[in-house]
Amino acid sequence: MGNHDCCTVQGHDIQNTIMATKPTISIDHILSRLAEDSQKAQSLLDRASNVLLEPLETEIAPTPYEVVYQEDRVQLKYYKPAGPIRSKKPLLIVYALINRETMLDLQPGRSVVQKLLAEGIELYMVDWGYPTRMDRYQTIDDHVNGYMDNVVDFIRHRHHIPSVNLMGICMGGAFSVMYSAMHPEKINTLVTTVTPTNFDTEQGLLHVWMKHIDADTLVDSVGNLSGDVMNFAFLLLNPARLMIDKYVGFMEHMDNKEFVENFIRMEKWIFDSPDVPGETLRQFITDCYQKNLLIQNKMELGGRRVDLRKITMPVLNFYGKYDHLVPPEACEKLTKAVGSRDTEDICLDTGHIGIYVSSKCQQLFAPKIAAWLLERQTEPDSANKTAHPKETRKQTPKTGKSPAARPKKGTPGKKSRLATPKKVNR
Amino acid sequence: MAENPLNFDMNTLVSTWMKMTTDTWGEMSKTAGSNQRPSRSQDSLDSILKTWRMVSSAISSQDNLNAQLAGIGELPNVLLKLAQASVEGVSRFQERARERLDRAADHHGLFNPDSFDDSFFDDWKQLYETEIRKYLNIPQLGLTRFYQEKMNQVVDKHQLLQTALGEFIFILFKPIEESMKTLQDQLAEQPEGGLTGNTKEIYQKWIGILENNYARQLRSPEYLKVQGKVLVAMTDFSTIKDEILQDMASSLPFPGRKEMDELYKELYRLRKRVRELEKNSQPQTTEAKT
Repeated sequence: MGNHDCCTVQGHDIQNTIMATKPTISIDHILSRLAEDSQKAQSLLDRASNVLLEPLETEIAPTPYEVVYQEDRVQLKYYKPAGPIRSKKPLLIVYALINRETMLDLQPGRSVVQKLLAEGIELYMVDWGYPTRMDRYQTIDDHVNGYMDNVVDFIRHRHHIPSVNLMGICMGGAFSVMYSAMHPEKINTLVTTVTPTNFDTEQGLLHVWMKHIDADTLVDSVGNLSGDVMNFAFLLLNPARLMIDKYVGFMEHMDNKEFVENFIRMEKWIFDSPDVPGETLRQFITDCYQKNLLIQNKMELGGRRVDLRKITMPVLNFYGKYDHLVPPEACEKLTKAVGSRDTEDICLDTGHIGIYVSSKCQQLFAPKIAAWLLERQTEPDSANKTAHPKETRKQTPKTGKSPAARPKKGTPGKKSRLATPKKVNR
Repeated sequence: MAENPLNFDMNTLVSTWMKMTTDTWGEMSKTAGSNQRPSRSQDSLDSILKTWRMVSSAISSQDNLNAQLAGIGELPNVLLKLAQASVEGVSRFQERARERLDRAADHHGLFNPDSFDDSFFDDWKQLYETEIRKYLNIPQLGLTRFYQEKMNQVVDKHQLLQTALGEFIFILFKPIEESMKTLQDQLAEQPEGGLTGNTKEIYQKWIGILENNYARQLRSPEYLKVQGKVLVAMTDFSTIKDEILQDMASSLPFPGRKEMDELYKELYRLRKRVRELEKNSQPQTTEAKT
């Protein structure tokens, strides 16, 4: 062999070495996968068109109710259990001004309303309606000490009872907390769910944004805050999941009729956003999000101080571990701030609305509330209802344990976590 | 030597022309007036002719004629000076425009697509505020000055809103851009460049990166600043737009938003007062009736 042959052999060796180390992209494999995927997509589209073009059951709030009271735009819905009524006192549910209370009765099988009715609890639910420009001057005081007080009085007189059970959700929970502090004699028990009471947290993105908003300029220029603007702001909290991934998931399952119906129901609810009255929004942003007055007992409604220590009735406080709108830090301080000795925190492994719509939470949430309410049917004596200032409470433990053994986050006791592994995003 | 017929005295020419004109109009008015009854038009014509005779006799005097002819002789100089002033004014305007363009060109990022970044919007806003906005802030004159100023303000606030929205969209797009780049880098590190044909896997990877990028971006001081700017720009534009529409609506036979807001406020106060009175007038019962 001559030099040329030697070099050629060496060249071949070098070339083979390069070929061996260089990553090879199997184009045929990729193309075959793509072909498969496109075939699957085609058949999916065919099935999806059958589903979408057929009638779909997407009605929400199917449980029948009766409107028993109306004041301005506000209505009070009454739900009567089909079976025997086990609760001596009805439960009044107060939803937030943002979105609609129909979420609690989204569909059969995922309805907190139906679950509570099945447990024999009589239900009333406030429907805040759709505020118009005429409502722009209504304040938090008008909602709490106006509408809510009138509704509570109506229920009390209707049932001939001195007090009612009250359950608040999100901003409605904050209203319920304020109401209970200002009218403790009218409230038998208080249930709060995903209720922000401590706004001094950076856990939630909404809390970060609200601190930088000029509420006065905003409300002075627009009056009521448009529901569409709020929807857009909520979508911006997690645009990747809420504006892209959610709809990719829909397209992947749009041949599944049940999935499509559930999805549409949720879409109907999510984008059904009433406007928020301007003055209410102004005070909520300024006094709650920016100054955090509520948990400090410094908030005022109609010139009267809201003192959480006057909440002396039993309190059950639910919140979601993965709630990005009202993070746990915003909820968990309530039970320590109230004057009641009978309090319980329950942290669910879910997000903001997963508590109400997740199938696993459905098994835990409503039955827990019903059982808790039924345990507290009898009117407590006056001694138990006496307000205990915070200093006194420390010396008189709520659970019979010494103050040093006060349950900490994550430990068993009056604070528990009901495990639901699936996170549900709004 | 015979007299050159082209040599003539301007003074004599003008005075002769004035005399002929006066005589002609005078004769005409006599002829017209003699056969007609006295009328308003005749009276007007007579007064005009009298005025003309006075003016012509004044002009015909020698001193006046000399002054006028001297003035006419100066006309070319006057016109030349006017032209010079106009040309100087135009050239000064062009000079200033060139200086403004030079200053604008200092913001070189505005005109270079390759250097489009976060500073583009600040540069544009600075250029707008220093070079363009001042023309919108020129005080207006006359009866409609308030409306003109509001229109200028609408244009101004609209421009600021467009800039703020542009910046907002840009900052919302940045995580998408970054996530694409990160995904490409991650795929490049994998065998076969990550191109296994499993689009679902690649999508999941990308959406996770995008979610993290947004979670970081939406908390950043930079985003909060831009969000604040957008809200301010929106509220400013909304306010001035409503004022303009209110002005337009004031000429129409139905109430505008301002009137309705005042009405709503009054209604709210009255309603609240009535409820207070109702509550105070009813006996207080905290215990339910049995």
